[in-house]
Amino acid sequence: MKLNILKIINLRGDKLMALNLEMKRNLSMNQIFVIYKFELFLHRKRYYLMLILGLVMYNLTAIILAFSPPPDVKLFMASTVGQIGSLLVFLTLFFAGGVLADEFDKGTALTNFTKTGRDNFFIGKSLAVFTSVLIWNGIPLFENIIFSLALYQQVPLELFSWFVFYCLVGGTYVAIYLLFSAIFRSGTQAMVMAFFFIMAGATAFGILLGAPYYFPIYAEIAVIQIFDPSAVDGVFIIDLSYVIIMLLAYLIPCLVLAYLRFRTRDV
Amino acid sequence: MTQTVVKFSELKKKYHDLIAVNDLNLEIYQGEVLGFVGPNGAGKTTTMKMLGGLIKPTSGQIEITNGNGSLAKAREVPSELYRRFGFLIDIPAFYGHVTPRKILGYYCRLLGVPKEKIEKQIEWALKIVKLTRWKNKKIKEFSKGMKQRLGLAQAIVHEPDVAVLDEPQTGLDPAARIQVRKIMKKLKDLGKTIFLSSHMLYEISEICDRIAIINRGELIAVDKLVNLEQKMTKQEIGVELLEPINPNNVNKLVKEISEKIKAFSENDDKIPVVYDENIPGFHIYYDGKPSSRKNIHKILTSDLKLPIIGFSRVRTSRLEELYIELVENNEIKYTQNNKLKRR
Repeated sequence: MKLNILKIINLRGDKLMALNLEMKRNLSMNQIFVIYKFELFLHRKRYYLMLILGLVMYNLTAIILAFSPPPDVKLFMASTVGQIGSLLVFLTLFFAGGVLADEFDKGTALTNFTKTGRDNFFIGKSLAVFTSVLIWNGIPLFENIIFSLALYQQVPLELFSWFVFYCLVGGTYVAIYLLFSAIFRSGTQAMVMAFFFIMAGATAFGILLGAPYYFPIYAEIAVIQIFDPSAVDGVFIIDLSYVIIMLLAYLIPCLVLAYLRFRTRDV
Repeated sequence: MTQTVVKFSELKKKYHDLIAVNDLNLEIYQGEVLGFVGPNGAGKTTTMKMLGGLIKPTSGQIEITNGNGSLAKAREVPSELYRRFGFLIDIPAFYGHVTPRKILGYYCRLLGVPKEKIEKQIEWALKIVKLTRWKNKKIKEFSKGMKQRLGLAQAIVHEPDVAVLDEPQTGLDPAARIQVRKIMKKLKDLGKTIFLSSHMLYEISEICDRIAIINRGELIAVDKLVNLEQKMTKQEIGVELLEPINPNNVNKLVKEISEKIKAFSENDDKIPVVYDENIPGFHIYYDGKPSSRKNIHKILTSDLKLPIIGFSRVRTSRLEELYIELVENNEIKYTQNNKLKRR
């Protein structure tokens, strides 16, 4: 029995080593950069739209609040940046929903994969999608720095904590979308299923386990704790560290599984 | 010595119960044009996809040249595969809202073409496929034929040593087909190796040095066309006459020729002679032996004293007949094997 277990472990180790070696052979920083740049270029119109949407939304909220500013800068921020959570889930869907599936569905994989390794392709594309999260979160970060300086003459550190936390939230959504996109044949199908999973499936899973931390969208409620550490969400005392751990527990496996599925999928 | 650039050894691809490619052993030599022929679903595209790394073989291996004359497993030298090979597989698809210039530039950068050479390479590839005028138009506005030509451009833009072209003439009108044939001839003249699959047997016979015929995933023949023709049990001679025969005498003459050349024709019930008023002349089917051809010529000229101005083996239909004969034989073998297995 002991021998068998060792054998299994050994086999797995060998396979992992082989995979690792193969990946090293295929990886090329230049190719990753070219794919990353092209992916950003490919969705140029989407970035313009995102920029306009972000500017309009934050400017409107911030301008309205600027007429009768709350006494505390943190309250001001909770009212502005606290709003974007629900948009993040749509935005990431917009960029990551069909990013891998469409390559197979539309047939571009037939030309792309004969010119670069899938490892490079996956990393390049994923980095481009994560960049969209950075850009989207960067807009309110930048605007809030300006508004808080103008209205309160200070920039609280919590704003930067919020930025990092929201990048993690966005990254988790992206990882889930990438996984569905790597599994499903059609981009639209992948988008619908992943969105349904985030909005309903994971929520049901969280309810079933009796704690809200188990679903990623809870992070949108939990974010309030960054600006108000004593905040409760009605029933639960929010523990941000739990939320962060759960987000990572979604992000890392989803990303790894998406990668493994993507690289072995037949075209 | 001819250098091997691609070697398939015992290559197999299974999809559940279906064997798409079965123990394929094939070598492609440097500078040759190898035609890959077979009916739909024979395993041509699957083989090419395996070569391109788009699907994984179930077993067997693919080796490619690594530049210094030796062969290496394709999976171990992916960068060699990307740089030395150009692929046009199936119907090419591109991101619709980019231009040919952008997409070819992207591919060049991916393949490590030096920055200062990229524009030159794009111009060269677009000129060959005659798309220079459309280089700044969005691909979504392109017709199927234009996309096919762009597919060809992306396969050669980095000047690969080996071009793998899967039915490059699919969906093209006759003029575009001629253009694509010219492109392939140009590539051949440049010393490139071409691995070409096509249904257009005439095109294949025009440009290919060797032909590989595949059916139900199995390679049933691979050789030069001339050598394959020798293996055929039935061959055709085109006989052109100086002037048409009086329609009232056609049947009588056909019968007479048939009787006289019976010894040199196949042992079937079909009449080995067909009169074609368009030539005007005859199609004569015989056993393929050079001595028989000589005897038939003698019968027609000396015995029957026909005014012959042309006497030659028909080439354009050769490959078609050869293809049909080999595939049919393979089908019979396959059915018999299946019956035996069931018993």
